Amino acid sequence: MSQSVRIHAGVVLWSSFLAGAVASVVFFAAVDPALLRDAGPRVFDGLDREAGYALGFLFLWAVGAVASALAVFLVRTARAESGGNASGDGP
Amino acid sequence: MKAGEPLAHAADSAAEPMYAAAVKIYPREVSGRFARLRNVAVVVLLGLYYSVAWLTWNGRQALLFDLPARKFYVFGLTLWPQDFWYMALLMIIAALSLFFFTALAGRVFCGYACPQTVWTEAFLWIERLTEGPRQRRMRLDAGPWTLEKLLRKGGKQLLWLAFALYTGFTFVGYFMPIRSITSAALGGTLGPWATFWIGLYSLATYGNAGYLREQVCKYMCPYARFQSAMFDKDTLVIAYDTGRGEPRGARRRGTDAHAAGLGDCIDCTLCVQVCPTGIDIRKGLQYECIACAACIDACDDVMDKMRAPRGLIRYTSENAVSGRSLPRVRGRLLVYGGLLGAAATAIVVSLATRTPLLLDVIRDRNALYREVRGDRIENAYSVKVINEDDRAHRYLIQAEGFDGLQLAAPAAPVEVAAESVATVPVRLQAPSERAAGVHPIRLRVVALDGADFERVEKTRFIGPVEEEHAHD
Ligand code: SF4
Ligand code: SF4
Repeated sequence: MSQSVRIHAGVVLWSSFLAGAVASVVFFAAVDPALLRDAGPRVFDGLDREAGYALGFLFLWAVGAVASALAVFLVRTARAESGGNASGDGP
Repeated sequence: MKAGEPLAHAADSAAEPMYAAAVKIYPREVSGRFARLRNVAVVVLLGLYYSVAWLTWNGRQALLFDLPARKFYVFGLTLWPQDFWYMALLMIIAALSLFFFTALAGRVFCGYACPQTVWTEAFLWIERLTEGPRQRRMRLDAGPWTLEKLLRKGGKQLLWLAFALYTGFTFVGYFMPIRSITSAALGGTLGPWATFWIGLYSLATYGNAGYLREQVCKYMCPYARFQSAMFDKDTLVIAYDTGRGEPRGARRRGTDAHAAGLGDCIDCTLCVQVCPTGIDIRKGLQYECIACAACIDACDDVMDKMRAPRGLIRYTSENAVSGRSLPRVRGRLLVYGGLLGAAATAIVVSLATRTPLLLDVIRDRNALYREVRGDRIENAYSVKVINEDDRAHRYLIQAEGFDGLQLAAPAAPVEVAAESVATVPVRLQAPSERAAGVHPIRLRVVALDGADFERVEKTRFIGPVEEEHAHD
């Protein structure tokens, strides 16, 4: 794995971590995970609030990571197509 | 740069133009005015962080964002999820203060108060304690593995890990009651999620303060990238006085610099050696600069030794350097300051006038209305009375809205314990001839027992529609 890929992975994970943390705060300030569990499918039965917070955060983080990874991928491949420097990490 | 100086950094390394190939930086220790100031800041901030979690107030943890219970305790104040507004306002205030102080004084936050700086400084103290000062550390790293190296490095890791773990534990202690997680941890019964968060935060502390350090500022911090948008020509920055310093060059002490055609900079590179982000401030303002002022301290020292005036590197502004010395009152400052003042006033006023009582009125879902005793119409509601106060209260429920509207239940005032919720079935009645149609009404809940507050909530009273009534 080249250094640029590792760095891009780091940036993707880190920025989605930040976004996921903020999103969790806002979301769980308004919504009680216990209510979600009671309204949701049976697989969530038996989970407590703490589990709800953690799973919610991990989920939001993952969604953010997918979005950022997609963005990085599209930007990188677009640059290659327009004839520029594909990976941005030099010749 | 002298050979053997491991000072190469992003701008110098040709192989990786964008990202430094993480050359390890060994910041040299500094002493001086600003180093003292930062030490004070580190001690005060870390002291607060580790001790406030243990403070008690009225018999419970003074500052606790109790996530499992969904209640926030801020000293005398108890905030419920319904009070989310206060948290939102607080976050806005924090952001605005950052804007305001950045416009005013540049990255003062970075140099003195950012958790990244503060914990890195603490980790550096541990590093100095175990591995010694800069030269010794560099020699130790370059040298072979001896018993001494093993002991020194092992000791450092042990202290780092313990410190990071305790930091993570304290962090979680602000979100779950710290005394109960302490006894759980000691008894080995800590829940899986508490363990998970403690682990995550400890790991982040260990990695960020022990290894990533200045790279967090350079590559990970969004603030570092957008702060330039808040800068203007009067913002306080740390700058090298090029006019005074150049042409730089080594000279013997006591040489008349001007006669020798030299500026005041003796090119000792101390300002570069002390820089935690490894940049050369003499190249001008760079976004990597976290305004820690270590280079000022280092350079002032040199100037003192050379018997030259201090301040070759100093806090200044672009305008001051170019001769315009009076900082103007700027529109930007007024805007940030005005918004900050407004948000702060809003929070103070709303906290001062806060009623520790919330209502949640839900109409009975089963029937729109009910006919009772042949000539009266009844509506049923379920009213959640949320007592946010830290003592119990008795509440009187009243209904108002149109002539003839009466409360049928509850018959007596309801009692709600401290910080709890009572769900009260409420029934309202009105004579049939007055009840037709939809009436907007208000439910008023008044605290008795000397407390003098009430809360009013709007809802509807629904009676039969006219034709339907005639049809009956
Ligand atoms: S650059 Fe970012 S991480 Fe570094 S000290 Fe400043 S605010 Fe903190
Ligand atoms: S240039 Fe000076 S103020 Fe800026 S980070 Fe380096 S030592 Fe600190």
